[in-house]
Amino acid sequence: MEINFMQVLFQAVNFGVIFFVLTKFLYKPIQKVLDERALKINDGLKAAEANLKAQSDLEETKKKAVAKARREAAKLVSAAEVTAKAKAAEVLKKARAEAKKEAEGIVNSAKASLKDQEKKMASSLKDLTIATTKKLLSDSLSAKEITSITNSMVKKLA
Amino acid sequence: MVKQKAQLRVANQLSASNLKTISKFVEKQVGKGTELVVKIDQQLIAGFKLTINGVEYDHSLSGSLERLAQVI
Repeated sequence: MEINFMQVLFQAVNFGVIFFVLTKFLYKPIQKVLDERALKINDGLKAAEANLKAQSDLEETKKKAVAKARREAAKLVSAAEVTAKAKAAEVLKKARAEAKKEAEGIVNSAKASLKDQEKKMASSLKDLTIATTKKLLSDSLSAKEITSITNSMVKKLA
Repeated sequence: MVKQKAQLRVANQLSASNLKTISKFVEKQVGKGTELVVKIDQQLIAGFKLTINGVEYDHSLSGSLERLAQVI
């Protein structure tokens, strides 16, 4: 087999021309597009990472805010419970004092009423005793006895 | 001159001596010439009640019982 050097040279020149043309007009634009795409992807990834971090920070902030709000709510509830207990104790104390006062009033009133009734009964009993005694004496004293008593009464004047 | 009156309420008829004693007492209080008006009042039980110029001298058994009731 015989090597045709002209043919080889022609093929080499042809290859060089094609290589040059392809490099100049095809490879570089494609590379440029690929680089731009890679840059965009890289930027996108960075933005996504930044977004994720921001979201994570936001989540953390939210958690902290919720925890703080819960603590404050717990404090408020605790304070409200303390206040309510104090208020309830005060109301209870006041109610007890009023009930005691009212009960004392009722007891005093009852005692006064009882004393009054006792007085009335004693008075009635006394009146009844006197009336009965008078009646008994009127019925039982003889004329002689009445005269005798009258005589002794008159003697007091002398 | 208007004659003064003394009212005497008695449980039963007084004897003359008792009446005299009472009359003397009346004279001692307001002087002579006082008219003694006597009434029987059986509610007195025994004794008498004498009223001279609005002043009452209660010497009745009934009055004694009432005074006793006041003291009790």
